[in-house]
Amino acid sequence: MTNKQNKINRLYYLLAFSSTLLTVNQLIPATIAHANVLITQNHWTQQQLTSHFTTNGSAVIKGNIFTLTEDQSALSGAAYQNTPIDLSQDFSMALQVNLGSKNQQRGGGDGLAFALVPFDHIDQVNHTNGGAFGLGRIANVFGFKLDTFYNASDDAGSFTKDPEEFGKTQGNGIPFGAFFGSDETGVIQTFSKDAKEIAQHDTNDFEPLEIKYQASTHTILINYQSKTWSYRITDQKILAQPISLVFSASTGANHNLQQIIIDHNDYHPFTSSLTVNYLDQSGNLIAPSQKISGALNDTYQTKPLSLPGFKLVSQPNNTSGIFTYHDNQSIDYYYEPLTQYVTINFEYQGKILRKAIFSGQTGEQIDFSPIMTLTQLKDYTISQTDWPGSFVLPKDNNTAWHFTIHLAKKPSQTVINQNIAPRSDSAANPIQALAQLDQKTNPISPQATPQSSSTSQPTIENTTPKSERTPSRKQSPAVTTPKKKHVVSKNQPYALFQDTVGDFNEIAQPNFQPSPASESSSFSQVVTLLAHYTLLAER
Amino acid sequence: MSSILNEFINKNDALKLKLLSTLLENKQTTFELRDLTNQFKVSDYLIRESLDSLNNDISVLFGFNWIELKRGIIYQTMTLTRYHLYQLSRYFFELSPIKLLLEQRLISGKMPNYNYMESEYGWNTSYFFIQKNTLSTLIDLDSPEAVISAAFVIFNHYDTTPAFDHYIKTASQEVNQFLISQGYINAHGADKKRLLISIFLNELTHNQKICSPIIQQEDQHIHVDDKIPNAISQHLAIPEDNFVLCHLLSALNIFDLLEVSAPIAFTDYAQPILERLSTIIMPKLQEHILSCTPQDAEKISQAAARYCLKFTTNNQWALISQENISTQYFQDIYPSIYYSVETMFPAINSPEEIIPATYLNAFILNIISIIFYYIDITKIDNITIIVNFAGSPFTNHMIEAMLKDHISHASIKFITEWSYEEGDIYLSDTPSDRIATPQVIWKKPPTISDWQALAELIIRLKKK
Repeated sequence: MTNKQNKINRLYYLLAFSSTLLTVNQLIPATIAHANVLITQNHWTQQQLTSHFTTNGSAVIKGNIFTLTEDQSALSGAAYQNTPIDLSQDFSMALQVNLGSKNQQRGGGDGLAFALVPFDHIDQVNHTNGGAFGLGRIANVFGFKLDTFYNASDDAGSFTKDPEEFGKTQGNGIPFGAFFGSDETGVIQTFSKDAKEIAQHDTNDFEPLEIKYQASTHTILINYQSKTWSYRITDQKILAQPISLVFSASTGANHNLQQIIIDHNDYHPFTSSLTVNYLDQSGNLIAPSQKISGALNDTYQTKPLSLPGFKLVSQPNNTSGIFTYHDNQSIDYYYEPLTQYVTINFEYQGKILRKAIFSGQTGEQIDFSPIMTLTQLKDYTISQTDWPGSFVLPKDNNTAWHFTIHLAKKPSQTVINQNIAPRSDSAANPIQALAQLDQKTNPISPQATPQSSSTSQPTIENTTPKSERTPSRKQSPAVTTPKKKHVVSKNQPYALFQDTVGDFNEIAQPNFQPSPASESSSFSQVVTLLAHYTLLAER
Repeated sequence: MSSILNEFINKNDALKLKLLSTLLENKQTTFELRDLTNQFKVSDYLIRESLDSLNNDISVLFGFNWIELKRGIIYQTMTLTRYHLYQLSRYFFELSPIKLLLEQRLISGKMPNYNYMESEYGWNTSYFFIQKNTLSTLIDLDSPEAVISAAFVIFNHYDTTPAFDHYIKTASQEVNQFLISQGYINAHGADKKRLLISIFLNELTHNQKICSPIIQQEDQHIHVDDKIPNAISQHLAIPEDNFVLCHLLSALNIFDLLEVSAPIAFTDYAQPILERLSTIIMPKLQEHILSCTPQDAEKISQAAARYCLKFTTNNQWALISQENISTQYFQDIYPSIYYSVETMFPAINSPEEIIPATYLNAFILNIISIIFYYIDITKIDNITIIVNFAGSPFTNHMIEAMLKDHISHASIKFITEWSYEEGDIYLSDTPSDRIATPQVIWKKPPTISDWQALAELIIRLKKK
C-alpha cells in the first residue's frame, strides 16, 4: 500500500484521501436525533463539504472535489466525515474516483481507500502511521482500497504485504481492488478473498464507484469498473460502535493525482442517548424518566422539571454537555418532598378553641380523630366539619391546608346561646345578625376541598381577637351563667357577644393573678437571679 | 424535658411547649419571630401558626390572650409562669393519641384492638397501627415492669393519673395508708406515691397472666416478710404473699419514694453490692474537709450505697429522672463537698461499672443531699461577711436581715459588730482603708447588679 520511502521518511507522512458525505450536525435539532432518520445528501457545495468533513495531511477540498494527494511524491491525505454513522442501519454512497494518470511501472501510485474507522480512533488517522494510507496501527479498521502500487513485503506493526497474485516485486504489480482490515493489534491486512484486478488508469478521469451496506447481513458491496466486491463484516467492535467514514490516499516515490467526488450519500447517524431521572432522596422515581438522544458531539441541555409538591435539592453536574459514545448515562435530578401543614380548627362562633397542627411531607397521610379533642372540650359537639378523617398531602405547591370543625354547644347550653347572642347582634346590626342566625340554623355543607393558605392564611395579627384581659378564674359550667365576652376582630368588624371558654373540671386553677411583665419589680429580678443559682433540673 | 417524654404528646404541641418555655426563660417582654424560626429551624409559617394555636390553648385554659404579634415582633401581654407551662403540658398530654392508647393498655391490661378504637374514638385502622407501633417502640408493652415504670414516669411527668376503676383507686389509697402505717413511706408527696401504687396494683389485677410468674419470684433487691393486708389482696384477687409487697417496695425504691428508715432487708443479690459500695464510700467521707464521725460516715455510706443500687436495674425508665440534672449550684457554693463526692465516682465504678458516666451529676446531687441530711454543712466552705453600714441606726440591721434571707443558704456567716476581726468580705456604704479583705460598697439600696457582684465574689472566694 505504501512504498518504502514513506516508511523511511515518517516525518512526511501524509496523506491523502477523501470522501464525502454530508453532514448532519446542522440538520439535526440540538438534543433530539434519531437513529432511524435517514440522512440523504446529493449535491454538495464546497461550504457543506468543508463543514461536514475534516481533512488532514495533503487533502484539500475545492469545489466539490476532494483532492487527497496532488501528483507529487511522499504525500498522505485523509478526509473523514464529522458525524459518525450507525452500522446497525443501511448506508450507501455513490462516488467518482480519480486514481491518476500513471501506472506504477511509470511511477504512479499508491492508490486510495474508503475505510470504516471506530469513532474513538479517528484522531489516529494519518497520525499513528503513514503506512496503509495512514490507517496502519489503528485497531479495528475495515475498508476497501483501490491499490495502484504493489507492496511486496510487510511493514512490521503497520501492514502486511499485498496478495502475491497482484505482483512479485515492490512497485511492479497490477492494480487491484480489495477489502482490508485490522484487529486489535492495528496491523492492516489486505484480504485476498474476493480481491480483483482493476483496469489500469492512464488519464485523470473520474470513474464511478458505488458502496452499499446492508445492515441485516452486515455485508458491504462495492461496484467499480463493472466489478463487484462483497464482504461480510464480523468484527463486533466495528459493528457495535459509532463509525467514521474515512477516505484516504497516499504517494511515495511513485505518485499520482488522487481525487474523489461524492455524488450521493445515504446513512443513519450514530446516536447516543441519555436518561433524565427525577428522583427522591432515596433514589425512587417521582416522575417518569425522559430519554434524550442525539448524534455524537451534538450538544444537549436539560432542565429540571417543576414537580408540584417537591423541591429540587441537587442538580447533577451533567445537566448540559455533548453526546458521547460512552453515554448510556443518566442525568439525575434529586428532589425532596415539600413540608406541608394541615391545620384543623375547632371553631365555635368564629372563635378558634383549638388548632391541631400537623406537618408532613408530600404524599404522607395525616390522620386525626377529633373525638379526643372533644373529650377535653366537653361542652361542645360537632355541628359540621370539612375534615375527612384522613388527608393525603397532595402533590401541590401549596403547603398549607386548613380544615374547620364547627362546634356547637351541647343541647342543654344551646338554648341560652341562641337566646342571647342573636338578640345582641340584631341590636348592633340586624342584617349581619340574621346572616349569622342563618349560618347557625342552616349549616353550610362541608367543603369538598380544604382551604389553602393562598386564600386564607391565618396569622395571629388578623385572627387574634382583642379581648378583655381579665384574669379568668375557673369557670363553672356555662350552663348556669355563661360569661360573655365582647370581641372585636378584623374579620368580623361588628360586635358580638361570645361565650368565654375555659371550663375544665380536671384542671384546677389556683387563684392566679397574672401581672403585666412591664411591672416586674426589682425584687422579682433579685428572686430571678437567685433562682438562677438554685436551678437543679430542667423541669 | 427528656426527649422520650416529648414523644407522648403531639409533635406540634411539643413545639408549642418548647416555644413557651423559651419565652418564659427569656427576660425580654418582646421577641422577634425570626429569632424563633432560626432557633427552632422551622418555617416562619409554622411558628406563626403554632404561636396562634398556643394563644388559643391559653385562652381556652386560662381565659386570657397571652401574646400579640405585630410586624414580626411578639409582645407578651401577660406574664406566664411554669405553672401555666405544666398545665398546658397536661392538656396536650390529655389530647395525645399515644396517651390514650397507653391508658387503654393500662386499664385493660392489654392493647385494645383496632375495632374498639375505631368504634370508640373514630380511629381508622392505619392510624391505630401507627400509634400502636409508636407506643411499642417507646415502651416494652410485654413487660409489666417496664409498663409500670414507664406509666409512672409519664403520668407523673404530665401531672395526671390514668382513669383507673374506682376499686383500684380505693385499693391504692388503702395500700398507701398501710405503707405509711408500717413506716415504709412517709406522707409527703402522697399523690406521686399513690400514682405508682395504683399503676402497680392495676397491672397485677388486669394483667395477671403475665405478672404471675414475675410476682412469684423474689424481687431483685428488696426482701420483707410483711405482706399487703389480705383483705386488699383478696379484693383485687392478687397473690397473698410477701413477694407482692417486695416488688411494690422495690418499685417505690427505684423512684426514691421509700422512707429512709423503711424496715426493709436486701436480697442475697443486693446485699453484697451494698456492702462493697459502703466500704468504698465510707473512707472518703472521713477524709478531707468533711471529717465525718464514724457513725455519720456509716449512715451516709449505707444510704449512698442504696442509692447506687438502683443503677443495677435493667429498667431504663427508672433512670430517666436521673437525667438532665445541673449541679452548678453545689459546685459554686459547696465546692469542697462537690469535689469530694466527685472523687467517689471512679472508685464506685471499679472494677465494674455500676453508674454510667451520664448519671454523674445525678449521683453527685443525690449523695450531697444524703450528706446534707446527716451532717451540719454550714461550717463547710463558709464565708464571713462583715456588714458595716451607718446610713441610720437601723440600716445595718436591715441589710443583715436582707442578706440572711437571701443568701444564708450559701453557708454565710455575718459579723455586724465589727471591730478588727477578720472577715472574707467587707460590705459597707463607705470604703475602708483599714481592711485588706475584698470590699463591696452599696451606696444605696442594692441594685440587681450589686447583688450579682456580691454573689460572684462569694463564689470566687469559695472556690479559692
